[in-house]
Amino acid sequence: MSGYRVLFSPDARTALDGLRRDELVFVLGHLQALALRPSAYSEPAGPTAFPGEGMSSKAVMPTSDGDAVYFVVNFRFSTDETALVVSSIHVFRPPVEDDDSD
Amino acid sequence: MSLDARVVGIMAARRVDEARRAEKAAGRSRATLARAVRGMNDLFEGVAEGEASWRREVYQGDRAYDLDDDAAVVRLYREWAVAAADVARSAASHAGPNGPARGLKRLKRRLADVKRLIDDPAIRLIDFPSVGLKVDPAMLDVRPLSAFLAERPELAESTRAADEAVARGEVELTSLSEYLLARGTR
Repeated sequence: MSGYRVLFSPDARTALDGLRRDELVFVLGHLQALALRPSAYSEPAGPTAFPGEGMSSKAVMPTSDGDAVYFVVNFRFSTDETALVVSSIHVFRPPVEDDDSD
Repeated sequence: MSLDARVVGIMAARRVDEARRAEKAAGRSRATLARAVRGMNDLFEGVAEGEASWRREVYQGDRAYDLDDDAAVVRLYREWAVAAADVARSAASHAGPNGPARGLKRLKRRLADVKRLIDDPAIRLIDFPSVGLKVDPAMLDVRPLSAFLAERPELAESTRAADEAVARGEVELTSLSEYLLARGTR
């Protein structure tokens, strides 16, 4: 992978551990795009979210049932500006339906 | 028994026979519609499986994303929706004594799910930046994180704590390659 290196904090690793295989593949693809062009796929989180220079990136993974899984990746640039340090990843899945019995 | 009574008896028997025949025919129609409902549900699952397989290949980088592939899958869903809507209407209007055909509720739900594919002629199934689009990738609609955290106060504290720990350089970092090796995947 060219561009920025990607480093994970323990919280981000824990979040990745909890992803399904397809979600992990998607997030890795998103991180790859983010590492290549951070300015295209993220924005400063702003002082009310993170004091300083925290960044936030959001991605939407369409699913086969017409719904979508949403991801938020929070990160900072490393002090030497060579890496994206991911502090946390949030995943929001659609509500599970239970009305298959008809 | 008088002649009139015999005639009335014969007429009544004929009516009963006709009603039974009509009931049998309606039963056969309902059975046919139930098979059609099942068939449309099976067909949908086939299309969805094909889409999932294509999506997986694109996500994993085994196949380049192509707008024509995307449009072909959307077209399959649209064609399915046109046929399924007819079946759903007929099955709903020929409900039997035990209610509508089994699977009709699922069929209607799937029709509602693919409605957006019919309503929006320019829709794409995969629309995100990391799949190597042949055209300019669409920008994601990124909302300010502050708005997100304001809506999810239960996550705000841990999210900020994780960011502060990273900012202070207090956490042990793992590179992407190390993580993938540890997880046992590519």
